[in-house]
Amino acid sequence: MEVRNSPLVLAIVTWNDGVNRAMELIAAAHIAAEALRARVGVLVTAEVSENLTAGIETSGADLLYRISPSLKNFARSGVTLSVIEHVCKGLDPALVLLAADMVGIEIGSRLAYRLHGAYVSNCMAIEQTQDDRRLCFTRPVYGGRAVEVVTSESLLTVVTVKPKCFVPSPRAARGACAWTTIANEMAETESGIEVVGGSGPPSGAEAKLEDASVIVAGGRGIGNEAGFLQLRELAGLLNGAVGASRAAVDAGWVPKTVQVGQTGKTVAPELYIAVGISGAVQHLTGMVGAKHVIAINTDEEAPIFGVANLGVVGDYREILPALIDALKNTV
Amino acid sequence: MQIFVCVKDAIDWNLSTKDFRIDRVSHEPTVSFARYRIDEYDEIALEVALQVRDRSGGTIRALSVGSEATEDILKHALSMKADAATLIEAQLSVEDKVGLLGAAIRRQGPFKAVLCGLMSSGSGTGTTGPGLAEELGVPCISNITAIEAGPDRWRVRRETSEAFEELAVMPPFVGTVTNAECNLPRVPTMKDKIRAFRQRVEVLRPADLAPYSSGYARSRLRIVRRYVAHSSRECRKVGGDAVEKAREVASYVRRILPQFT
Ligand SMILES: Cc1cc2nc3c(=O)[nH]c(=O)nc-3n(C[C@H](O)[C@H](O)[C@H](O)COP(=O)(O)OP(=O)(O)OC[C@H]3O[C@@H](n4cnc5c(N)ncnc54)[C@H](O)[C@@H]3O)c2cc1C
Ligand SMILES: Nc1ncnc2c1ncn2[C@@H]1O[C@H](COP(=O)(O)O)[C@@H](O)[C@H]1O
Repeated sequence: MEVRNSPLVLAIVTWNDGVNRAMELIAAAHIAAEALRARVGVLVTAEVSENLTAGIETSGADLLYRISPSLKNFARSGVTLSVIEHVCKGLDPALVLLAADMVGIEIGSRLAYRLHGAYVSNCMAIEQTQDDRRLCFTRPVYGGRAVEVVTSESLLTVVTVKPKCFVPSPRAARGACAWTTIANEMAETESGIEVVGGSGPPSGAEAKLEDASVIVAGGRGIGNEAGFLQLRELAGLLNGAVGASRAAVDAGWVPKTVQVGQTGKTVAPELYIAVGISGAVQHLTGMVGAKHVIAINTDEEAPIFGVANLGVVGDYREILPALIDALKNTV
Repeated sequence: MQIFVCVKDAIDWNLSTKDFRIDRVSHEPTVSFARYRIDEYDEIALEVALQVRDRSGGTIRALSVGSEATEDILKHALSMKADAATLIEAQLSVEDKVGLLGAAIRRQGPFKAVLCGLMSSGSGTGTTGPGLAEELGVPCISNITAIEAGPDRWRVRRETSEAFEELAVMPPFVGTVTNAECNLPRVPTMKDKIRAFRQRVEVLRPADLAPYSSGYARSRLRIVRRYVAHSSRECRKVGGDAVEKAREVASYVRRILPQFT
């Protein structure tokens, strides 16, 4: 155990986005804490599932904090922000980690402003500088065409962590794992903003795209909604999920929830099959983390082949039925 | 009723992707034939603002911190029919930009909304919009795709990771804008371009806005290195007819997915 006043790395879970995102965040916190010889704290502001609570309790964190009553309304992230600001002023962390999700991108920059800290968004990796014990953060720039490594010269740094970049590792719990409850005295309102409508996440038992190990994704080249039935069949066969490019989502063939890319999800499956997707940089940035990529496209010059292991030049309407056949026949 | 739209210049990737490199010392891109254009998210933010004005009146002012060359980007905003444009001539880090933009907005003020892109296509940090909300002391709404002005409350539609949300907000506020079918940027006509060419861009210098600073004033990031991320994948193209291609893909899939035998 470190001495009590060693620095604190605080991972903040702002909503119940499944166990995996939170565990990635804590994994990032452990990496940073090792380099800084710091303690890992986890602050939970949202109401989270039992599963996630158990995951956090066994994540090897030194300190656990929760807000009571928990915060529910993501739309009014200003409230979440103020509560986190208040807690940070008390705990004085050296590093604050948030997921680079809706809430994180909305409050990360503002939290840094309020705490006079530096802000690193979309962090993909954390390392230590060779000469001193400063942290280096890797993040994408130029829309993912390049990456940069930055260090912070501030006493406090707020980091949002890109999904699917840190691998949670099971650790034995260290020290006491009791929760400290911090009373939330903020009213659950933010002056001026009110949710008046919208559509929640579509219900259904479909596997979460981010957690699928196989993704069959379609783009404008699929041509219509019916075409996606073939992708669904292939995905079903491989125990995977269907993804899509923005063009296919905008065309209304598939819901927004399955969009991959800069304004959609970041995924890193074992296998990504891109069908009728040209490979625009905004799409690639969401899927380059895939271990294996197969691209099917009529245009042999399509940029998607540049990130693929295996390329099939051809019409998906001929290739997919043949592929489904070939996979069904266990030769 | 005034709406500010913060715009910046970005590399035009349609024209200059192939030989994209990053200079080891300056960390800046070096592209032969580099063309600059308005950042794609900012063009969308401007479109959203223009749609509000076209329906409900008011004025749209485009605002940019940049160099003399950035004037072209502001002329583009004028050709899309922004009403006015201000250039703050300075080369600054994002931390200082927020203070400077805030000072310029306060000076040209009162406003109903300040719109920014979700993130810039260069550094892509998404710092500026939310930072400006702090600087100006107003609420921040991210991921906006459409806005409708009302007599008191405004309606804002925004994307969430799962779907969308309609918010009612009491202006003034800061918003960051993302793309959608409903906000494809308008393409200026030749006539609009000529008109914009003659229009004046107001130029300010940091000294005109002093003193300014922001919550980031004491914080800094230092770039250690920046490099082009090359894909390490060697794409093997399969040959033969559709059935042969499919067989080869199937055997590849079987090899990498041991659970699928
Ligand atoms: C601010 C901004 C954010 C964006 N965010 C995202 C994002 O998050 N995700 C995203 O995906 N995009 C995003 N985009 C859009 C992106 O720039 C591209 O427009 C989009 O990815 C293109 O989708 P696509 O590849 O499906 O379509 P296209 O580029 O039109 O490509 C279709 C492909 O299908 C092929 N094809 C046609 N017919 C067939 C056939 N029968 N069989 C096989 N292949 C066929 C064609 O050769 C072509 O390569 C964003 C754009 C902007 C401006
Ligand atoms: N130099 C600048 N001048 C005006 N607006 C800017 C500038 N830099 C960033 N912005 C605005 O802030 C948004 C996000 O940029 P960034 O914080 O760099 O990711 C951009 O899309 C612009 O709307």
